[in-house]
Formats: sequence, C-alpha cells, structure tokens
Amino acid sequence: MSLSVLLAIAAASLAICAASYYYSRIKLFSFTLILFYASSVYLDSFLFAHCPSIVFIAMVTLFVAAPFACLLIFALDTHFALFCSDTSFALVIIWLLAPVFLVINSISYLVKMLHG
Amino acid sequence: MAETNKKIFISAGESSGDIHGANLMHCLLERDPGVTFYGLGKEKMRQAGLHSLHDMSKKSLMWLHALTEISTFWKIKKECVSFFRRERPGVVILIDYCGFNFHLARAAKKLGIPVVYYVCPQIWAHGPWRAKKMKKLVDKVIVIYPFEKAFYDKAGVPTFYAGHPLFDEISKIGVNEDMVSRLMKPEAGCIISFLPGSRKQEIVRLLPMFLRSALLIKQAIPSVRFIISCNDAHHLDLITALAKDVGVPYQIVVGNAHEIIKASDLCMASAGTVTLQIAYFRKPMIIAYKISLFGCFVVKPFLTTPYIGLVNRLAGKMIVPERLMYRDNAGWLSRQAIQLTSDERKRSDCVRELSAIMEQIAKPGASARAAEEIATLLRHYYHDDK
Repeated sequence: MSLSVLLAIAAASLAICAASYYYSRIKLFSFTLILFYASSVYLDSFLFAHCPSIVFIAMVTLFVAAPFACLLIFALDTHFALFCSDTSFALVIIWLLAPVFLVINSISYLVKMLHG
Repeated sequence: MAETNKKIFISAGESSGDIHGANLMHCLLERDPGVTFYGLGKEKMRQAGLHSLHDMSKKSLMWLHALTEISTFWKIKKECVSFFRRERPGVVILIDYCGFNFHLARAAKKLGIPVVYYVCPQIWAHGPWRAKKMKKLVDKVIVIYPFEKAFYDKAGVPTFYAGHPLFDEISKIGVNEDMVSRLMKPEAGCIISFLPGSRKQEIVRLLPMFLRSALLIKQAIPSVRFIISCNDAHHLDLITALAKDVGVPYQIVVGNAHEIIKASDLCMASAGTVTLQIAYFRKPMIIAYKISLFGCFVVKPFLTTPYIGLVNRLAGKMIVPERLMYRDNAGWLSRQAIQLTSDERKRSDCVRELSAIMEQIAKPGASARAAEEIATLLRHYYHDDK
C-alpha cells in the first residue's frame, strides 16, 4: 500500500471519527478511531524508517499509547466509578493529540516526497 | 444529636455554595445549638461559625486554573483527612464543588463517617455516569430540583428533595424598593439588563456579545436603557473595561441583582442560578452560554438535556429563548430581545410559563428541610448502629 493511500485513510478516518463522536455514534467512532491509529502507526513505520528507533517509539508512546491509556481510564471510570477525579479530560487529550499526530505525519510525508 | 456527633465537617468551594452552606449551618444550629462546624468555606460560612481549616476565598476549580493549584488542593485534602482521623466528625456535608469534594467523600467513607451531598453538581446535564460515583461515595444526596430526585432515584442513590435554598435567600434579603425605583427612574422606555455571570471567564465571553447586541437593539428601540449587573465588586474593573467605547449608554450596578432584575423589562443572562432569580421575579429573559468551538465539540456527546437554561429544563420545553454558542451571535440575541420587548403576547406567554414553574418550586424553607433530613440521617446512622 502506498504512503499516500495510508495518509488518505488516516485523514478520512479521523474526519469520520470526529463526526461520529460529535453525533454519538459509538460503534462507528470506535472503528474509525482504531482505523486512524492503525493506519497512522503503519505510515509512521515507513516515514520514520531511516530515523533512530527512539523517534518512532516516542511518537507511538505520545500519540498512540497515551491517548489509549486515557481512553481506557475513562471507560473504566464510566463503568465502575473508580476515580474521584473527573476523567473526561481523557477525551480532551485524544482530541488534542490526534489532529497533531495527523499533521506531523502529513508534514513528514511531504518532506519525504520532496527529498526523495 | 448524640454527644459524639456534635462536630460537623462542611465543605463548600464556590461563593454560591458558601451562601447555601451558611444558611444550612444556621438551620442546623437552630435545631441543636451545641453543634460545631469545621471545614472549608468562605466569608459567609465563617460568619456563621465555621472553624475554617483552610481559606477557600481565592480557590477556583474552573478548568485549567485548577491544574495550577493541584499541590494546594492536595495539601488541603491531607489536612481534612487528618481532621477526619483525629476528630471523627459526626457527618461530612459536601456542597457542590465535586472536583474536590468527591475526594473528601471517599476519605470520609473509608473512615466510616456518613457523607451527605447537598446541592449536587449538575451531572444529570453532562456526565450521568458520575451518578455511580455518588452511589459509591455518598450516604444521602439532598437535591434542589425536582427532576434531580428522579435522576438519582433511578441510579439507586438515596435522595431527598429539599427545594432550592436560593428562595430562602431571596425571602431573607428581600428587595430594596427604593433602589428599584431609582433604577427605573421616571423615564420612558424599557430597561434591558445584562447578567453575564459571576465568573471572570463567563463575563469575558458573554458581556462583549451582550453589548454588541445592545447596539442593534438601540437602533430598533431608541428609548431602551441598559443596566449591567456586576455581581462581584472584584469584577468591576473588568466590566468597566469591557463596556468602554461600546457606543450605547449603560449603567453598571454592583451587587443588588434582585433590584436590577425587578427594575428590568427583559434580562439577558448566562445559564445558571441567576435564571431562577429572574424567573422568581417573572421577568422574560434570554439565556446564552458561550464556550470555545473545541469545548463545544468535546462536550456535545455528553449533553443529556436539550436545554442549557434551568427554567427550560424545569418546564421541559423552551419557554425562554436560549442558545449554547461557540461564536458571537449578537444578531440572534438582539432579534430575541426586540421580539420579547415589543411582542406583548410573547411576553405574557413567557411570564405565564415562568409563573407556573415558580409556583411549583419557589418555596422557602429548603435549608431547614435539608437540616431536618441530615438530623434524621444521623439519628438512623448512629442509633441503628448501636
């Protein structure tokens, strides 16, 4: 699969994910969120193939593992009322980081295209 | 109350909670003059006899501001928990402010101290899953709106509906009729008042939009006069700066919210308790609430009620115009204001609906009923244990 197709899938899935979140379509939201992260991580593995592996690990930790951890905390709190603090901040983190992740990947893709 | 239960811990963070806390303390003292109060509160609760463990006057749990004070809140919590261990208060009463008070509830519960939540956070509007936390952390919830009882009953939380303590406050303070007359003056033309809220963030977001709508209203109704309510003297400079060069004459009034409302023909207000005050005086109103586009996006899936205004929520239908906004909509505000001031039928419909709601809920004595319920809970809690 070409990099441009992967980037297009990531961008489209994020847009659908945002719309399904806004209109509370939970199944579609979950599916497109997973699709966004899967395609973005796969794209990253090519875009950052020539960089030290720490760059790829840092990207995945910050932009994938952290939001998923937050989402897990939120889901557990919603179902089992585990925490005294309000965990809806998890959604703020996801919606702050996901577009940044896409922008970084888009810039990296353009740089890769321009410099061969 | 039994001798061991004479110490009551009470915690309120916001200014409104401070007023309701002070009224509740007076009622508890009337029932049993031997009780002593310890905890967290502001000026009014201290005047009512609170032995304050920490000064909450300048504390805020609004959004990111709370993050800057995490270490302070952590210290306050530790002080409170060590007080629970040392003194074992008969009951812990928490007033709103759930971002912090839930932590105190958990600590008290762990130590086997009964917890009462009075004036609950509006979790029925945004985040109903938090009712599970209430069930886990609290022995009794004392609610102030009738629909809250149904919400908590459904979640299996022991609930008592006491009514809104705001009406105790209104009946206690009354209205200064001289002030109302002075505000009305013997001048022709209607009065529109702006009540943009008590928090700095709300004022900054809403007042400039209200004032832009004032310009449009003035063009349509030249005789109209405007009053800006400054609820807290600390915000006077901010309000003066925001209202500078607005291009319409206005008057800023510090405090005296009831008098401003009574003198007005129409109020433009932030969503919140002030809308109940306006409804109490049967004045037509427009409710606006403004958040950022990002904020609007994030919270939208969690909004469980189609209404942001309490009066509309209480009526179960749109009886006054309201709008949740993420961008300036002065045009909409001015259109609604012009309609509500010039269309007599619309005004009377609005006033009739507000009267119907107020006849149901505007009953003083909420604080006394809440105090009675707390005393009953303690009787059961300690005597049943024995």
